[in-house]
Amino acid sequence: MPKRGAVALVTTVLAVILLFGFKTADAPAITPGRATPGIGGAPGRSSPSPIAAGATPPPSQDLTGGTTADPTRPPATQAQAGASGTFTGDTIQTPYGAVQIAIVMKAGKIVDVQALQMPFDRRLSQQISQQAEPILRSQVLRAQSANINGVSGASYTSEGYYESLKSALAQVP
Amino acid sequence: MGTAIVIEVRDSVLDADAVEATFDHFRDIDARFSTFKAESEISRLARGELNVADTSPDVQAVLAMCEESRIVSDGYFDAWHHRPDGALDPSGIVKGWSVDGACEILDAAGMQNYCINAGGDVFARGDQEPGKPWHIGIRNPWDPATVAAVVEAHDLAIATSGTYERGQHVLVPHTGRPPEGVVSMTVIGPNLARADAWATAAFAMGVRGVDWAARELDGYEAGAITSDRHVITTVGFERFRITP
Repeated sequence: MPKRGAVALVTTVLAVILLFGFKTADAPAITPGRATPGIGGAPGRSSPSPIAAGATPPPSQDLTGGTTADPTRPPATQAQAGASGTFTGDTIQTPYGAVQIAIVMKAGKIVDVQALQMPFDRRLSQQISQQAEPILRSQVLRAQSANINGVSGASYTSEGYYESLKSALAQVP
Repeated sequence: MGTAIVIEVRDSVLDADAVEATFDHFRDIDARFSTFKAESEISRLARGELNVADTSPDVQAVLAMCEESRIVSDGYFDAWHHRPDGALDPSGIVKGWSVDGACEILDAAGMQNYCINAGGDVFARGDQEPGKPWHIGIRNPWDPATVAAVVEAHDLAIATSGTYERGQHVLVPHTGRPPEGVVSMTVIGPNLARADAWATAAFAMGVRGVDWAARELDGYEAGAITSDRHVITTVGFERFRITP
């Protein structure tokens, strides 16, 4: 039984963020000479191209038919009913540079997440910018999908991204 | 670098204290287990400044679980040999283990329907709405905007290990090289710490990790995404897969 229960709607969402500082700083992601997965690139191996329709014959199952989260679907959860507009988060200074995120709301749901500033000034920063930002973006959008509640598959996040995102969300009336 | 932890609760009454307690729990574990923080127990242990016997019971429990996983997986899960510098890195189990602990807190508070996602390691308790299990996607490594598969999750842990997550994050302990043939491995089952370790181990084995999981793991199922862009799963895994 709840000790001090707050009455909530049937759907209650907590999207609280925390840094979990597991090792990545000198992980081989930044080792020179090793293939680094960028968005659209094939990680690890030398496969040259991203999945494209018809690129791979489907003897069993081809990922081309993967399910795309559809941001136009009705949201599983509604942040604030009816809010629309662009909400710009704070600029967060990180060891890798400044991060600033904006969210675009339409009728109470997030329809886009934009990175206004992402650091590019160091090699590590490029790793964050090229990999993490689009992945995080897709996560946020996918959370709006009525059909998928979460995604398994490790993510790579930066503190600044979430800090700025949180401040953007906080501005939604 | 960090991991985002998202807790979604779908109960009609929310115990805010319990949810706050779970985040205290995560912060505490982060402080003690982070390989990213120089003063964590794990970092001090890795530098030889601390003996295992002097670590907290939680650290000892995790290290014991790492060792057990190493033995069961024939060395393919090895917290001491997944990194190029050979430093101790129990992260392959800690994330899942920390979520299991958070579940205990929420369960004790009477929460019955929630989903915790710690950087892609997921535990789904109960249902997303009455009679409708949680739907958890497995990321398409080549396109983060899509998922390669979806599993139906009711009281289920889902852990994925992959090359795309942090560059070549997992090295095969025996060879010191990245696994071949697979780009991600997902393991589902009752416990997230175990699923986490088995995902890392099966991933390090390459494509045959799916066979290994089918043969050796009791109560856990595996699904791999291969370098040639196919999904290979254990038969049991298929029972959880859905077309959303």
